[in-house]
Amino acid sequence: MCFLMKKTLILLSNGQFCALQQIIMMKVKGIFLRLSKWRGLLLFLLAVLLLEVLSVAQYFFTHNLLEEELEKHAELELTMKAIIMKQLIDDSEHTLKSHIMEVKNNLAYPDSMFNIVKQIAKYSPNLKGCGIAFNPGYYKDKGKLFEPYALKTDSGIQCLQVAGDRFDYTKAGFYRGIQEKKANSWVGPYDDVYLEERLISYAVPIYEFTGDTVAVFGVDIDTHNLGDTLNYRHMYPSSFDFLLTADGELIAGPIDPNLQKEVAELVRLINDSTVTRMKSKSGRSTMIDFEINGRDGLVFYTFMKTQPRWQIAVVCYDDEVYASLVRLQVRLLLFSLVAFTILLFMILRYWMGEKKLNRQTLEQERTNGELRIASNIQQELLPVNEPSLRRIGDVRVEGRLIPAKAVGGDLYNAFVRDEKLFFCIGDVSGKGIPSALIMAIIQALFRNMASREDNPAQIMKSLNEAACRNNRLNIFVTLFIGVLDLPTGHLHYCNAGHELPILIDPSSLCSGAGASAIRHSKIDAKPNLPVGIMDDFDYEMQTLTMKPGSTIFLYTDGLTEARNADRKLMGREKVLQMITAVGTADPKQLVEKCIAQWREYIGETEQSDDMTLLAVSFTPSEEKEILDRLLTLHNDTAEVDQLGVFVKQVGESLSIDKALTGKIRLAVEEAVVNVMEYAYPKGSKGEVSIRAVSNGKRLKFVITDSGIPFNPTKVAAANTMLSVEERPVGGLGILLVRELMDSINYERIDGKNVLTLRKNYKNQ
Amino acid sequence: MTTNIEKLEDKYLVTLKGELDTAAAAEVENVLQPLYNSDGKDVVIDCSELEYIASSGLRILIGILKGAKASGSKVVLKNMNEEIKSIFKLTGFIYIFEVE
Repeated sequence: MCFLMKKTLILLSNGQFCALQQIIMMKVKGIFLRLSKWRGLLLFLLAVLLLEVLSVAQYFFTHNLLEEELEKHAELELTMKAIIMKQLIDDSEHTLKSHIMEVKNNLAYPDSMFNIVKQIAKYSPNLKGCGIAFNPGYYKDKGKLFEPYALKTDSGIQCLQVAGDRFDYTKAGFYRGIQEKKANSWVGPYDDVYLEERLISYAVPIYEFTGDTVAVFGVDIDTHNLGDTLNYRHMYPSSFDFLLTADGELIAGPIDPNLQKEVAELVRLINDSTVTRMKSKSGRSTMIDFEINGRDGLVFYTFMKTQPRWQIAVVCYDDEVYASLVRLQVRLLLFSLVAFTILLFMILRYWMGEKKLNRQTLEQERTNGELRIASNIQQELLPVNEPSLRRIGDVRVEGRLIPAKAVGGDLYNAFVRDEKLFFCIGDVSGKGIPSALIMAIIQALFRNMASREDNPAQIMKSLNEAACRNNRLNIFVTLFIGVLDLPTGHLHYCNAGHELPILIDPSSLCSGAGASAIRHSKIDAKPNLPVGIMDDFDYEMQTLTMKPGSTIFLYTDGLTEARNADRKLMGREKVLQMITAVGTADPKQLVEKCIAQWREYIGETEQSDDMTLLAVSFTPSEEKEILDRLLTLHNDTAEVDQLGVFVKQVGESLSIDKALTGKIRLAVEEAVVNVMEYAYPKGSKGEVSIRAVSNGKRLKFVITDSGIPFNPTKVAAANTMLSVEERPVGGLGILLVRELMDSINYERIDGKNVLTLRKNYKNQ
Repeated sequence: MTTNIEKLEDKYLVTLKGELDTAAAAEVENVLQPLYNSDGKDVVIDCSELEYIASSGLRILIGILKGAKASGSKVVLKNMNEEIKSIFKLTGFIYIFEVE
């Protein structure tokens, strides 16, 4: 028992080692778990970064694209505006030129000039006015200065002679310029003093037939109107166009008074040679980045390709140019926000899942580890290396438990006490851990109860009471308990609803009927009731006598209810056939061959239930007795001194040394005194016979009395560790018997108490 | 089996000779009965000639020890042979008696 406990302890410490390993594994996994958490976060950040980079790249790409588009667009705009201007210029020039001849032809009629200018002003929608400034004193009767002029007003064409005290055109730029150049020319812009308008004019000199210039003939364009024409449409809502002379002087721009400051600033920028400017990709225009009133923009300008080489400029503001880009960016941002949210959600879900999975895995592993430990402990509960079995030669026991899962509800046990083999086989209802726990309890209880009780029915009763206590799960156990008395071969047994064991008679094996055919029979056992169902059930003990060489074969339903690939049960008959086929009563061979056949039967099919086999062979050694003496005493302790003499004589006859004889004597005396004192009630008379038998190695004392049934082996031995005050009076005798002899055996036979003590005296 | 008690000034000297088996126990107990009720003196038991002791004999010694312990005196066992000593060891008596 102690040996078993030690082994279990070692096993537990092994288990703890396993548990430690598992804890380390869990820690490592925990780190991995945390790492994977970081990995997840990293992944997320990476995704954000990637999308951000992508977004930025996309922004710049689109920006550049838009910039290029803008350039093209702006240049198109400039070209278009240049065409309009060109048209206007051509119109004006053409109008003027087409009337030169008329003016020349009518020089003689000064008043007809009014008509000419009137016609021009009337039919040229772009012109503000038209006039002919004659050289001073050209017409004597028209005074010094004469300039017939037609002015377009809201009420119609007004003809004027604008020259006079108020306006001396000879001092005006256009007059002097044309006189000096003697060529067609655009003049201006200038503030016309007379009209109080800013004008730009196209003028030609009028020659006389002599070749001298007599007048300057010109058309005036109102810059206000010109600006309006120029800005009749815009690239962007707040874009505008303006017109400069080749020298950079503003001719016309937007008419909105709020924009004048901006226009002036832009003109300054264009004229300021220190300002950074770029050529467009096409090289057709020049660009200047600017910022006015906190608004960034770009001004494109180019020189007209024809005379006059005016400059046309178009202004775009970034916020409008890139409005679509911003809209795109915002949409992209929203989109990526949604994407990130989804990604984050997915990662979180993944974490949670993984965490849960990890937890589950760890849990599973821990459970598996614990199950392994439990499985080992359970196997350890089986009497595989039971020392008491190895000591005794009169019986051979072979057992095997093959659980379907890591742990099972099957059990078997076997051990020898007081020359009796106690064995049991059982099956706890259900499977798995609950059954395994009950199995362990039943194993322990069986061991415990059989250590002081010889009657299998009593053991069963105690087990049943214990199993019924708090049996909330209604777990029951089918159990077969056997107690084989080794000196006599009497098998006392008690069945609690278990499969009936098979008794194998070896006589047929030897009797020529064929080595493979052996006779066997099912043991006649009352089923009673499984343990754990009814706490006051009266279990019945039965008895049979095992012949030397016979074997009792026990099994659980894992054998009979084993299923093959066709889901077919093995059944009892097949088991019987199997045993016949095995053809041996040797427990080890029997069990091993049965297992082999069982495995063959189930094949690849999963084992559905625990399977347990137990074979017990009764193999008493045949002994030749060299000594057989008898002493009969009355139940009077005063006669015990005769026993001393008897034992000494026996010891001398067998040449046992004195010290050992003294010990044997003490044990026998204690046993006999015990019988004298307890087997016969006080005052009643009786006899105690002491028979000493030896086979030359072992000395056996058989103490027989006819008193009341009394089993001294059930008396608890005294505890040798107690102090003098704590020591009970009894128990000392049985302690000495147990300690001094090799075995003690009690059996009630034919109304007599039979107590057998044995001692090997050789090799002591 | 002979049993002798010698009353000295400060102790009782008990001498056990022969085999103290169950048959002899009654007689020995008769002799040693007075020592069950200790008067405070120590009891020294000479076992040099004690050849055998059964549990009934051990019980007498326990009786004496209980009496002595109650009065605070000692019981000393002297000169036990090896066989007797082994019985004392088996029963754990070696721990409760003073053995010289």
